Amino acid sequence: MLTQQELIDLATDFGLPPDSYFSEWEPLAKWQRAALDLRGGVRDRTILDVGCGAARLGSVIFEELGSGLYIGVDPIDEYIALAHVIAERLGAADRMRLAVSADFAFPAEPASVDVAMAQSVFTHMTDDAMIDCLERLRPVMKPGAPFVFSYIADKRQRARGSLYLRKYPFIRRRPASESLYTEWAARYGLRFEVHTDPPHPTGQKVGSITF
Amino acid sequence: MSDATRGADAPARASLATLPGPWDRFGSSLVPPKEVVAVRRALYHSEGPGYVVLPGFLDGPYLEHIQRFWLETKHSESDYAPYEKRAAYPVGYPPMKKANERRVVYSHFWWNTPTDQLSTALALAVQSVRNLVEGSVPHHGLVPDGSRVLNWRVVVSKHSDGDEVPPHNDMFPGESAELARLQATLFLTDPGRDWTGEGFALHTNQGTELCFGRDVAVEAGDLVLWRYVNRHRVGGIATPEGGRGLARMIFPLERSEAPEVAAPRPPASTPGSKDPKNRKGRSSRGREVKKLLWKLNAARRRWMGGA
Repeated sequence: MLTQQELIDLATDFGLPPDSYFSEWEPLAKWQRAALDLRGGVRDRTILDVGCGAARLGSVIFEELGSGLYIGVDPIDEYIALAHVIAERLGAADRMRLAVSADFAFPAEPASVDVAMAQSVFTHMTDDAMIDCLERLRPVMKPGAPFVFSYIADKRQRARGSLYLRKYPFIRRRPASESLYTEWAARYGLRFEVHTDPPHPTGQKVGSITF
Repeated sequence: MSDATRGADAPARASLATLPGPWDRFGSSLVPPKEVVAVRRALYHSEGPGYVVLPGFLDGPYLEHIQRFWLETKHSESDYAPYEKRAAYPVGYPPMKKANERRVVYSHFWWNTPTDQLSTALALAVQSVRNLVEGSVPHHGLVPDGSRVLNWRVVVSKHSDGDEVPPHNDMFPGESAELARLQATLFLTDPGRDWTGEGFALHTNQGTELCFGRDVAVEAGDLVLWRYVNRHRVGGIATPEGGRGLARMIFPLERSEAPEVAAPRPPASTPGSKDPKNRKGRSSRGREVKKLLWKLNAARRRWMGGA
């Protein structure tokens, strides 16, 4: 695992300020790792990280991937560039496949993914975009593979727009109705479940759909 | 359309691309210039010093005006409330002043009516530069959103035997982006001529203490951006005969108490209904706002001498 200052150094080498993405790196990375451990761990498995950023999840699983593969997709090219450097620093460049994509063009072979994860990703998506993401996951997930994702639970949450990194306009949505996930899953005979363990560090709700 | 009405010298479509700064497209105004990469590296990287000096940020007649206004002009006491340190300040809180024979501090929130228009413009410009370098949104510190707001200060230190501001790190536990936070010091007087000694001292990213004016060359008009989490202090200042002391502008962010006022809702009941709490059709939100205004006015009366 990289130290906080190592992360800051890498970020500033890319011209990025050490904003909240970097100050919240460790607790969220640990949560992501723990959530994967509850679903069979990472060794020799293919992990798909939807909205991977600078490979925060990758940075805590590279060492234990074995013959596995970390696949990451993110719309922000600066993060993907930084993710490559982080993987190289951790000696894991050969265990990683990354793509810049805002429309879920996952660089994964059909039915190859053992676990997929989207941490603080659905929190920024419209209902249609979430459905699109789920549809595009279907062909790449192995049968029985879980997709774990966090979503907004607080009913007081208002719709907000943010300028991420001061230049990328994002939405922070109101809570989604869980029926959206239940109904989409039921359409394909899949199961949506809500999870409380491990508790999410920022209080988001966590669910999964098993493919 | 005749030539007379066409407005030949008032083009409907224009470009401001030739003006300094990225003004031609809104989107480009959000993107930092490439020079920011080097500035961020100097500030945040473990090999960087943790500060960067922007020489001559304020110069010519602007610097002279600021010096004249804050160091030579007598100010009206009634322009300022007594300095009060609070955990959070309500929106609209007045400017504050504290003074003794060693030090004077004039403190202003961004929402205050300008005591000096140039100083207010300058403070907003420094906040804008800081936001750019930190990667904060352009309005950070300048909207009453319940987070921290700009409280710029002019501080004039004449003498201090020990530390007038003891060594400390400004941390914002639990607040996001604390690692990126910057503070800025705009020097308004010259070391040597106006003041001597240690003055403002900052620990670099390598842990070495440097005094600005002694170890790092600065002069009046220079703006120093520095990493807020690095240890710093102010002290050991002496003012020679004819000197004006160590005068500087600093740009702290204070927590504001701003309640978020939602869009007004239609009254729960119409005028004349049986609801005794809402007989005049006033929404509860309206009552909250009225209560807040009453509190603000009470505070204002207090600092204006109980009038």
